[in-house]
Amino acid sequence: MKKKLNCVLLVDDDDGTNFINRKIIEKAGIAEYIHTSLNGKEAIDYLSKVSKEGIYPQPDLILLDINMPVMDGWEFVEVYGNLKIGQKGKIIIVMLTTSLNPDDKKKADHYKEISDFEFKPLTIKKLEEIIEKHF
Amino acid sequence: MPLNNKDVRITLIVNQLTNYLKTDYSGQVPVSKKKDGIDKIIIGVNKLGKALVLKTVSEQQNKKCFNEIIEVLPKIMVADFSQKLTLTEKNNETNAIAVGLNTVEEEMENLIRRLKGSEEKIRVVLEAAQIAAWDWDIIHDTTWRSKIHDQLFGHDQNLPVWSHKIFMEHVIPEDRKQVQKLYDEALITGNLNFECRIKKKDDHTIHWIFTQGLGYKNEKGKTIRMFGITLDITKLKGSESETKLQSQKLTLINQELKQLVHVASHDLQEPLRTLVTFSELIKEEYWHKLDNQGRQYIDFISNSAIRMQGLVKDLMDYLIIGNEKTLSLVDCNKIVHEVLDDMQVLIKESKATFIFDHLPHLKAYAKELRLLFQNLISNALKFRKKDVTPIVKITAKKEGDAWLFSIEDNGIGIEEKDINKLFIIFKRLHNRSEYEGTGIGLAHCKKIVELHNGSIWVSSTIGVGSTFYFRIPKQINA
Repeated sequence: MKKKLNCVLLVDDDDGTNFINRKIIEKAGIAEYIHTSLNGKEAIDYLSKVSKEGIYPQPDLILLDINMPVMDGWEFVEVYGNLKIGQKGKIIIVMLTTSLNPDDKKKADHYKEISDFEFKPLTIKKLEEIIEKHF
Repeated sequence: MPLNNKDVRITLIVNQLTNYLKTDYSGQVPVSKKKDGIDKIIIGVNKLGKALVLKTVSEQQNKKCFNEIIEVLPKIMVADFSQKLTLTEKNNETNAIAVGLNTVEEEMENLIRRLKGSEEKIRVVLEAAQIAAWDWDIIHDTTWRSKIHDQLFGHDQNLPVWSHKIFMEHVIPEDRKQVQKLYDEALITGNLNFECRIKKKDDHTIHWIFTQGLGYKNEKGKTIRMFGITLDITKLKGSESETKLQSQKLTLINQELKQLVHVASHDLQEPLRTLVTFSELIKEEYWHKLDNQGRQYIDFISNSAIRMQGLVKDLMDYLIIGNEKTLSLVDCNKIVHEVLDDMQVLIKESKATFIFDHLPHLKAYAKELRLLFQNLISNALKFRKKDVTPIVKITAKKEGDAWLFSIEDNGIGIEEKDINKLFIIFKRLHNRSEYEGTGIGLAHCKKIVELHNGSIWVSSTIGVGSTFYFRIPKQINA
C-alpha cells in the first residue's frame, strides 16, 4: 500500500515552482494536505501557529529552496533548529534547489536537520524515492 | 665611485705626504670639525709640514735624523706603521718633525684598526645575506671578491683569479650581448645595474643573478675601478613569473567575461524574446479558447521569461560597468537633477521631497556615477513607508583626501541581520509581490564605488530609515 503523508510544506519564493510542485505531489497522491510558504520566515510563522485544538501543523515533509528573500533556506534551518520540540515533530527536511554549486551540497551535509538534498525540478520519481527512503 | 667627505680628507693627506716627499712643504691640510680619527692625522700631517718648513733652514745640521724621516714617509704611504722615530733632545726642529710623523703613524694605525673592525661587520652581514661583494680593477681586469662570490657561480671556493672574461663565460649565451652592452655603458656612466641568467659550473643549473656596481674614475674621468655586489635572485624571479602567470590568467578570465557579456546580450536574449513573443501571441489569439488553468500556465511562462530578460540585462550591465574607462569632471548637482527629472512620475506620485545643496564637482566615471546616484535615490523612494511622505537628503563633505556622500531616507529601514546581504548580486530582501526588482541595484553600486577606489556602506534602523554612505577619493588612479 502506498504511504500517505498528512501534510507537506513547500517553501519557495517562485510561484511557478510552487504551482508545479503542488501538482506533482497531487499527482503522486502522497499527501492529504499541501501548504506553501514564499520564504523561510513565512514557513517559520506557519510552523509556529497553534490551531484551535492547541496543535502545531507539524508537516511530515518540508521541501526547502535555498535562495529566497526575507529568510533563505539556510537561515530557516538555523531558526528551525531552535524551535520547540512540539513545533518540530518528526519533520523531514529535503533541500530542493537549482544550485549547481557543490559547496551548497557540502554545507547541507553539515546540518543534521537536513535529511536530503535534491535538484530541481521535482519529479514523481524523486518524490517517491524520498518517501521510500524516509518514511 | 662618489667620494664622501672621509675619502676626500684621506686623499688630501696622501697628497700632502706625497708633496713632502717632493720637498714641497708649502701646503696645509684643512682641519674639519669631524672627530673621526682622520682629524688627528691631519693635525699630525700639518705639524709635520710646519716642522719640515723650519727644518729646511737648518737641514745641514741634522742630516741623519732628516734622512730617517724621509725614509719613514714612503712606508706610511703603503700603510706600514711599524717604525717609530726616535726623538732626540739635540735638535728641536727635527724633533718636532719626528713628533708630527709619529702622531700621523699612531692615528693612522688606530684608524685602520677601526676600519678593519667595521669591514668585518660588513663582511658578516653580506655573507649572512648571501650577497657577494667585489672590487674590479678594470685596467688589469682582476677582481677582489668576498668569500661567497664564486660560489654563486657554482664553484666550491673562490678561483685563483676572476676577470670580466670569466664572468661572461658563466652568463648564458642568450643574455651575453645585453650584459656586455650594460657593462660598456657602465664604464661611461659609472653605474652598473642588471639582472641576468647564469649557468652554474657545478650542476649546470640556470640561476638568476642581480648585480649592482659603482665606478671610480681617475682624474682624467676614466672609470678604472668598480665596486659592487652580486646576489642570486632565482627565488624572487620564480615568484615574479608566477605573478606574471596569474595576471595573464586574469586577463584571460576578463576576456572570457567579456565574451560572456556578448553571449548574454545576444544568444540568451534571443530564445527569451521568442518565449515572450509567443506567449503574447497565445494571449492574443487563443486566450478565449483557454480555460483558467491554461491561462495561468501562459502567465507563468510569460512572467518567468520577462523576469529572465530583466536578470540577463542587469547581469550584462553589471559586467560592463567600467569597461569604457574615461575620467571626466562631473558636477554631482547636475547628475542628481537629471536623475530626479527621469523619476518625475514616481516623485509626483509619492510626493517625495529631496534636500541637497552644494554637491561637489569631481573627477569620476560620469556614466557610472550617474547610475550610482540613480540606484540609491530610486531605492530611497522604492522602500518608502506606505503612510509617510518620503524625504530624501543628499549630502557630501570633504573627509581628508576623499568625498563622503550620504543619501538618507525615512523609509522602512533594513534589519540588522540583513545588512551584510545588501550588496550581494541578485540578493533580494523582500518578496517579489511586495517590492519589484532583480536584486542587482546595490551590487551595481558597490562595483561602481569600487571602480572609483572607494567604499560603500549603510547604517539603518528598521522602521526609521536608512542612510547609504559612499566615500570616493578626490584623486582616482585610473
